[in-house]
Amino acid sequence: MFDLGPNAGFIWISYGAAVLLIGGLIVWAWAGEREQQQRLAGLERRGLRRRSSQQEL
Amino acid sequence: MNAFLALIGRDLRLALRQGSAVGTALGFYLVAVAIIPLGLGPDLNLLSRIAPGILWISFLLSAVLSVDALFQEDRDDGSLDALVLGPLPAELIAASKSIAHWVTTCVPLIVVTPLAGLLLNIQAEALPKLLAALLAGTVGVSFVAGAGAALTLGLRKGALLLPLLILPLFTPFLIFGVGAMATSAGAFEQSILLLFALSLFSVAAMPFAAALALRLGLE
Amino acid sequence: MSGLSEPQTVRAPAEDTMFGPALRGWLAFMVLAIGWSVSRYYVGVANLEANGNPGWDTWLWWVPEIMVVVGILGLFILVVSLEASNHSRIANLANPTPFMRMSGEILPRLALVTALLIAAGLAMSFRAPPDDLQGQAARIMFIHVPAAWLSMACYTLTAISSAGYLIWRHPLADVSAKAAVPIGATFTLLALLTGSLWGKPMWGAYWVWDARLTSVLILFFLYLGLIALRQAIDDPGRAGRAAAILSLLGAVNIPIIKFSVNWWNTLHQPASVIRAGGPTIHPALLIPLLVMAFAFTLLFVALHMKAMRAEILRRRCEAMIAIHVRGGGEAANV
Repeated sequence: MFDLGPNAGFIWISYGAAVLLIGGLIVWAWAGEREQQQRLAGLERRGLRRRSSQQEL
Repeated sequence: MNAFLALIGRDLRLALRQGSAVGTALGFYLVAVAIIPLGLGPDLNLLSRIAPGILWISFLLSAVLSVDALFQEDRDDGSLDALVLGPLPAELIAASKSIAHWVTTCVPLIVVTPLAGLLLNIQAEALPKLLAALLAGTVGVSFVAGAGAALTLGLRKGALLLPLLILPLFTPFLIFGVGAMATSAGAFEQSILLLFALSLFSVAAMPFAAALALRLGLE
Repeated sequence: MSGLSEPQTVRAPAEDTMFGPALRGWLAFMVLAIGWSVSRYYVGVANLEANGNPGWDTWLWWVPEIMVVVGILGLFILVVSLEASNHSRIANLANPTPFMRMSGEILPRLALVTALLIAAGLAMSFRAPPDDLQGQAARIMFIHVPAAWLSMACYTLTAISSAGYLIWRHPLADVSAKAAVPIGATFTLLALLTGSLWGKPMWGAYWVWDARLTSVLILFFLYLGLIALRQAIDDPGRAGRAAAILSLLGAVNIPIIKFSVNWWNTLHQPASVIRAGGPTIHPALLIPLLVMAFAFTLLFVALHMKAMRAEILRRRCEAMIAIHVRGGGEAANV
């Protein structure tokens, strides 16, 4: 199954590049959301309000 | 219509009196053409074979680098804001700028192209084809470049950004422009027709994109 | 100002009193049906006269069907946008809260399905028999083709979102366009990398000026331009609209660029190029390819959703800071 013949190097590099790039995208997207969520929570802790919540006050 | 013509006339007169922008574009074109043999070696056969490509690429680069100044000066002295707020539709303002760019930059570049071609030992029968292709295609080049210039107007790195945005869009012009010099039967007619089509399309479509960008720049 | 705080001044009143929904639906159906039958007739007759056979094997045969699909899609977009503009009088749809709630529910499930599908696709692509012509190197195609497909699909999504933003000024469309570009650029880069890694054993060179590789390269430059333009403008609303104009400019030009590159390639046809994947692919290779393409598409949807969520949250933060700085005066409706 893993005997990929004379061009194995190219195939492995291709799959490796795919894992690296797509892994990078996944980390970027997930970390980006987490970072903004933490930022939002920090702002709310400091008492900043969104307009929608202002109307409730 | 009168206002449109007056606007073109104004840009032409400005370019004529200052002359510096046109001179710079011409100088850039000739330097770009002249520096390439220094990198490739003086083999005249090689140079005459690749001359159309070199001339087209240098032409496109000088067109991109010169289009920036067209909007920039009017923006700096505030006359662009006045124009866009005035009665003339922004589409027509953009079109008049592109026409002025074609007349003041592309036409002089086409005029010196035979000279630049001499430097590259271009074949005598290729030269008229090249000039025809330039005449057919560069109108579209001016309109595409005008839309790009309107988009990057007043940005910090605008001068650097513009080639990055616009050069990929020039691919068809370059391909058909150089394709007109191909020796295969019918290649010239086909390329010239496609270049005309590209130019017509750009003249019809690009002013709308440019006008959107101009109005955006006012906000 | 945040891009999510557009004033809702430019919104045409919805004309729902003009026709009843049934009449409108019937009219749309008749237009599509008449358009389809007329073009079907002409395409069929033209093919018969030209070749003596109906000619299904060419893509031209499918033009009427493509027209119908595009028409239905267009109608769908129209209906959705009308719904949105009607709805906005009651609740502001520019408010992305429903999107956040929905995507929050969908994403974990989607991620699970995507992970399973990718695992299945990878297993299948390594178990597939080697290709007769390309040998083991054909396995690179299982990544290359989905990445190339997504590089185009992602640009299409960017362009549609940009049109939505320019026409209806819907902030969520801008968020979608902004989130799609880096993902599309990465998939394009992946397609280029795997394409050249496939090219070395097949063509003997990492880079061949093949028509497809060349147009993907130009697509990559368009993505880079979009990223650079957005970075060059500080104001997010202006940046969004400038990027939208540029991506529409690119979308209009992509077919022309593709056509010109194909033309250029046939003009300078290199002698020893093995054509990649002809019209017939053996099912043993086709099925893993389809599974991978589907898995990559789901992956893209999940990534895009996640990136959109991050962007919405980022804009919320910006808006909150803006309200705070202005002392709670004119507020952003985020």
